[in-house]
Amino acid sequence: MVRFRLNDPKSRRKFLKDSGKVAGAILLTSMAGSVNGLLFATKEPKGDEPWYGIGIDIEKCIGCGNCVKACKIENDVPLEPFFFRTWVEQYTIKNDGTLVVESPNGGFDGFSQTVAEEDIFKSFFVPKMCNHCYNSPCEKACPTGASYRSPEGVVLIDEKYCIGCRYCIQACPYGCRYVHPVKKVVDKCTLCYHRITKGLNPACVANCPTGARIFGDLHDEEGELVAFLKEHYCHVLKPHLNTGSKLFYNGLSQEVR
Amino acid sequence: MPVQLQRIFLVFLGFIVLFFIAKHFLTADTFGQYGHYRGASLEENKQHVAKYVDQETCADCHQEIVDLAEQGLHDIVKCQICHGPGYLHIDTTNYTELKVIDTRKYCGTCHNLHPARPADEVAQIRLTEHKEDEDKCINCHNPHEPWLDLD
Repeated sequence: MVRFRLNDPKSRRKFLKDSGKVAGAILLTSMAGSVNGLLFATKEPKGDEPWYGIGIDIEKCIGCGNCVKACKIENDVPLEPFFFRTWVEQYTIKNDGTLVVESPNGGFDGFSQTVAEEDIFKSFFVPKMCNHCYNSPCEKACPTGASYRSPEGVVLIDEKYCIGCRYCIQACPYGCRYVHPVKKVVDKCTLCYHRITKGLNPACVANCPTGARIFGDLHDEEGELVAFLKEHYCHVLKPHLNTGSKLFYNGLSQEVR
Repeated sequence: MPVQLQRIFLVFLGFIVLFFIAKHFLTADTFGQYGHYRGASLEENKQHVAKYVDQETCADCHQEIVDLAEQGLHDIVKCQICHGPGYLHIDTTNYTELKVIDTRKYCGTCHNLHPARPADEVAQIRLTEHKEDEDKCINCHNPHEPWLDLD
């Protein structure tokens, strides 16, 4: 057995040296961690595999709510007004600078005007849905592997593995998840995985009467989505959270959260 | 090594072996196939029925009306936006008529004047002031060629 004898100058030096090594190692790993995080933010898979995303043109959205309706019908989303896979919000900036955000029934029945016309400085619609982040917080919070990202970059739910713990609902910064009242598991936008794998557009994209939603493959340089991203100034929601959102908005005002 | 430690190690070893046996039987076959999830779940997610069919499927039987609509201002408005999902309409065993939504209110979801609605995207009127005695917009406007019927 080795015994430490602190009175021995040799062993004291050794102790100090070892402490220094441990402290240095901790410091280095913590620094490497943050650098690694930065690298991860830019490390989107490249290749020939499809890597799906969505573009939304706020300047084209007329707030008709057909996307919300189509999504609910297509995916059997409960019709109660608090379950949505996609929904539309109306942002109104008044002349006095105050902001009014409303989304009556998620925009399912369209919008009626609530703010008096003479008080409005600017008003616009913002369709929202799952951002299909490639660095998704919801997927990381899932304790069972029921929330995952498919090889195509679509964030999906395994209904058989979900235990309904709701951690992912709290983790999602965009509020895109809910507990299905009948299945008792978490439900969310699948980017119509059953449609896109058959070559169809997602239901919300297929049923937009103005073409405000663009679905496409980010790896397809000739594709519609890449062209949309090139031709417009696009932003994602909450970029400071480093979620790697793949939902790109054209004409996104900073008021939108 | 003291004998009591040897026994404890043996017990630990037993637990570890038990853990791996249990893990083998409790983990789904396809778990870890692509990542930290059940690979078969991808297939399950694909199984859902696509209720909104392709526009070409509509054109298979209704080519004339699809052509007519595509020439007019409603060219970008796909059939199933107003007519509803068509998957049962093309189902031979379970054929169902489509229910078209033709109320003033429904036309108004796009065409009622609204300050947040981009004026250059869609023609807008005040539903409360425009021909309020007509019960339906389609009495005058044919939705497949919205302006051609008016003279």
